[in-house]
Amino acid sequence: MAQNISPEIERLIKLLSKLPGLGPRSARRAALELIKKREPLMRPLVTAMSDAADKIEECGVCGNIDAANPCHICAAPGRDQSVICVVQDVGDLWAMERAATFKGVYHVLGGTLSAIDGIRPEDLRIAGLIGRVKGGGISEVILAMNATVDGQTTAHYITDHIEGPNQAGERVTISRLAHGVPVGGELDYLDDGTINAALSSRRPF
Amino acid sequence: MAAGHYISHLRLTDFRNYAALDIDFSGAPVVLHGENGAGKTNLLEAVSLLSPGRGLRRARLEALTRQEGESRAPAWGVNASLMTQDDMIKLAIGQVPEAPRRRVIRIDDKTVSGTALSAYVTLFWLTPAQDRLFTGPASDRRKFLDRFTLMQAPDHGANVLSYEKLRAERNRLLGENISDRGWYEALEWDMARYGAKIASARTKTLYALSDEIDRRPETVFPKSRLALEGEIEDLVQSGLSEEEVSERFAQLLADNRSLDIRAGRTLRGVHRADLLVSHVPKSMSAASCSTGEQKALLIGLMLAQAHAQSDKHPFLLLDEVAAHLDSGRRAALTEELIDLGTQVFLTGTDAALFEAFDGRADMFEVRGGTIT
Ligand SMILES: [Zn+2]
Repeated sequence: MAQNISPEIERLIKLLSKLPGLGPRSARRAALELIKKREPLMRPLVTAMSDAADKIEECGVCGNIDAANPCHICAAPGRDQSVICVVQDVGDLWAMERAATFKGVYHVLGGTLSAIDGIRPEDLRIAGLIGRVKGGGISEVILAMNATVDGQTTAHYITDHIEGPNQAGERVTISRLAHGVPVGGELDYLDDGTINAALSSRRPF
Repeated sequence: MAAGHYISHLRLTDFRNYAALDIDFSGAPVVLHGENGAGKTNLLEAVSLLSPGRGLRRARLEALTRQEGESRAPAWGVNASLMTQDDMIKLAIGQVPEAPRRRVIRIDDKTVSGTALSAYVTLFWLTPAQDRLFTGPASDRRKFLDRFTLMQAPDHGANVLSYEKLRAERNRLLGENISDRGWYEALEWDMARYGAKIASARTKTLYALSDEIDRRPETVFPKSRLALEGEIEDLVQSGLSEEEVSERFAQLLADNRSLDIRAGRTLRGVHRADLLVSHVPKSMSAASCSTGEQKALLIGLMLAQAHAQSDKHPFLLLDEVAAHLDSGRRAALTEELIDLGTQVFLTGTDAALFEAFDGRADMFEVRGGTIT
């Protein structure tokens, strides 16, 4: 940014460009839009961001983000505390909640094992998960990682560490989401990997 | 440490002989010592991959994944935290298992093209493979100059690639004895256009580097006199504009077509250029100097280029360089590197080779995929 832009604006653009999906060009547009809509958009955004920065924290149990800790899902009396659904990120937890079928609780890993991003087991919330499972009271763990190689490597790693009896000598069921034909999906439009996964996890009719 | 632009942390995952490595740097020169085969050069290679290109070994992507017995890791990764004046930038390079043949580069978690790295990292290296630079084939010296050129003209690399693609295409026509004039003219016109850009960028680099060498004081690293030998480069040096050079080059290719058909390849062009280096104090061509003197010349060239590019805070990777120098030159190199103030990575078998740093370097012992 070599032009004569004031340092205040330049700093705003630089920070905005760090957001996912925003390059330098779209960050400039976003900054301009914010400044143009100072009262209706920028100031409320400042308040919202400051509120979120002050109040939102990670749930000490599951890694969800919430203004309460433990989060409102972990604390909800109606949810089945014996079933844990393991997801990569909070975005995946939100997707599960939108579907509104799952009545258990979650564990958010914070990513997957990944060579290029240099993410190792100790960088994820895996130790906490092992602690929860081994501590007892858990009947089932559902591994809901993405169907990528890194997602599945992470699932294998977790399985290796949680299978077998817990401290109370109870067995824990480990399951994973079925991979296959999406609802409304037409076979002709699916890639080979999806078709193979659907075929190998077929069920009696 | 004064350097405001340095790698503060490096993490390797399934890279070469490193399963998982974390290493912190202060910004001071980095010394890696240990036995041959311990993995010192692998570490330099990891750093070299943070600049555009295939790194200091020019290795294939698949060759970089760690292998244990028969099994290969699914992917490798190199992560670096780069401290700049006012920011910390995360650089990541490696593979994703779904596409192991594609080099993936991320800056601050965003996937970018390889050339984007040049905005953050400028680096060059001196390795034992370059010991025969002055006596070996012209193509090595051309690549050496092209790497320098890339630092001031980031599109130089793309221009060279485009030129080479067109040349291969023209060679195919020549080899198959095709005589479609329009086809040749189209290829030659594009070749000439890229060729003129290449020759002009090389010439500018040569001038800038020569100026820097003239400006530098006399040291134990002898001054080089540089000349660029190549008929297209000559046209640039005679003062013609890039457009005129391009026209002349296109004409030259057209005139030479029948000779080229007989040879089955393109005989003239920027792919034949050579960098001629001579030892100023001895007024001798570099190729005729002793091995030790050649190494000293190369170091002098590197230092001049580092100074010429100092606004880009270039990193220097010096693989097994100290062993070739007597203690006087080692001490002089140490002071030069500290004075340069950019991050420098040095390897050597023996920690004693680096005594002159005397507490002013980050010292690490490398042993079988671990570092202490
Ligand atoms: Zn929670």
